Amino acid sequence: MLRGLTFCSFAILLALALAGCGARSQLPAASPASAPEYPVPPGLPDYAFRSALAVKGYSIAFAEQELLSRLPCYCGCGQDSKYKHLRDCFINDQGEFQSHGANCEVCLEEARDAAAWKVEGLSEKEIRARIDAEYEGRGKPTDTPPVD
Amino acid sequence: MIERLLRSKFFPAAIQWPLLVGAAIAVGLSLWSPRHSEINLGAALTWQLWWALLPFALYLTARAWCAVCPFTLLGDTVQRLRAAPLPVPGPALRELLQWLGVAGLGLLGLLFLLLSLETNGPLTAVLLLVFAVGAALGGATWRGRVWCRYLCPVGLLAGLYSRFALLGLDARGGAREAALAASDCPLFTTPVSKRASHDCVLCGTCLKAESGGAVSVRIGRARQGESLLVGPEAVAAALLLGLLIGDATRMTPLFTRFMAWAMPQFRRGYEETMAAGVVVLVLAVLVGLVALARLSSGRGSFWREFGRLALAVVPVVFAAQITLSAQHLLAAPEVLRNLASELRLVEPGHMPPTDAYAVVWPLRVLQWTALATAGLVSLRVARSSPGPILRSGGVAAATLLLLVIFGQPMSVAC
Repeated sequence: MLRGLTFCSFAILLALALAGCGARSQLPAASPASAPEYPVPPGLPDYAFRSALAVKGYSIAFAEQELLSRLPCYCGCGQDSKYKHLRDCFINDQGEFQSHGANCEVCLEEARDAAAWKVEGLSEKEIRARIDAEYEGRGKPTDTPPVD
Repeated sequence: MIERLLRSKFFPAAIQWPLLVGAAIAVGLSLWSPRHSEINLGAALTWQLWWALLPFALYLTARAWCAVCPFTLLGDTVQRLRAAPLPVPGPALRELLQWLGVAGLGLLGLLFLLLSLETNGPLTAVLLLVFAVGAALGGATWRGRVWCRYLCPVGLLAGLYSRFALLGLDARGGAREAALAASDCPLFTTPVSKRASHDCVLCGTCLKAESGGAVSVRIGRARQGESLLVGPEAVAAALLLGLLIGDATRMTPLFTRFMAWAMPQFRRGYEETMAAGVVVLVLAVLVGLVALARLSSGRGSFWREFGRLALAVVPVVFAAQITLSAQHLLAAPEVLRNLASELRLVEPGHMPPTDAYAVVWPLRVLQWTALATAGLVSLRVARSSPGPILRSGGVAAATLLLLVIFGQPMSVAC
């Protein structure tokens, strides 16, 4: 009885591990492993140094403001009309850094993925489609016009 | 009630089996990418709930966690499957295993800080599976729960903290009954009358032996360090102090200020800069305590003095772990909200805080109180053996440093 239960538990562990691995490979659009290196922008506030991903996210946002302003943010900030696109999570219309992105994994991962897909040669429209496929459902998106 | 639970014939199996299922679920969730939630649920359940609650459990119930740990169940069952009687590791091997356990604790602490294990699902799953395989291999190779006693980093940490815990076992029968009861102990500890609290996992085996009359449960005032720390334990306590100072600092704006200064200063990437900072901090604490013990020991034994100093530091380290855990528990509602979002019970998505750092005053008062009280206990332990001046100075410095760090606004989102 005891041996049977133990083997069942091992089997559950293994099955869940394998199922988990399988589930990762079934994501709608593969997340790129890493984004290219962007220089750390001058005057970056301390809060942007919370994590490696945060520094990377703000560096991307600074260098790719045009691209990020064409992409919706799916973290849930769409519930506030102040946020119109992904760039707003990092830099506002006056060019000032915003702290929202530093505390939000979804914003940071979206910025990282968008930059990596751009380096892969994808057009803005294709990047937008991938972002929609990958992040839809995470939260209410910003009301960002579609890319023509 | 606790005594009745420990004496129950269903203890610890009735708790271990559900926990084994829970561990399997945590591994599965860790490997499963979240559909809606921002954080990986397996990692969140492991680090922001289990790991955050563990220090409180250790203070209240000493090493009872080790008795109900699901991985212990795996090791014990594998041992039962072996037909031939297994050997007990010899003294030299036992010491080597202890040092390996300390290396494991240091490595785990560094990985935790450098790779942000608390948010990394796949790495969390790998770590849980390593613990399961380690316990099973230990059970297949030796008698006496070698994994739990010498190699498991959580067991090592629990052994250090249990010296200052509220729950313990005492011999109440004669020496013969106590020795007979201890002969059933799965950890092969010394007879109950000389039982060291850091070895006992409160599995209840000796409570049920000899008609239950040889051993009794002690609840209440902790023994507050009945024995000196041996070499590996002393190094582990020093490592823990450095790692906890690093972890606490990481949760304050001091950390972002340091990174904003150091990255351009040394022209290194984020990970390199952080790794260098953590290693320098941990080494500085270790070297500081070694130097203090060397000065304090004079012509006496260095290891004996280092053991005394490290034992005196343990209450402060324990309090730092508890206060950090309390801070981590502030993220528990977010974890539960994410779980509900995954189960489609609530709408996904959130609005992150504008400022991640805050002072939650009721919690802050409790944190300061815990650290100051532990500092006083540490000072009492430091003064209980000869040559206390330098030892007390070291303990006071560690306590003050932690009070300053816990005086900063801290991350409420972990």
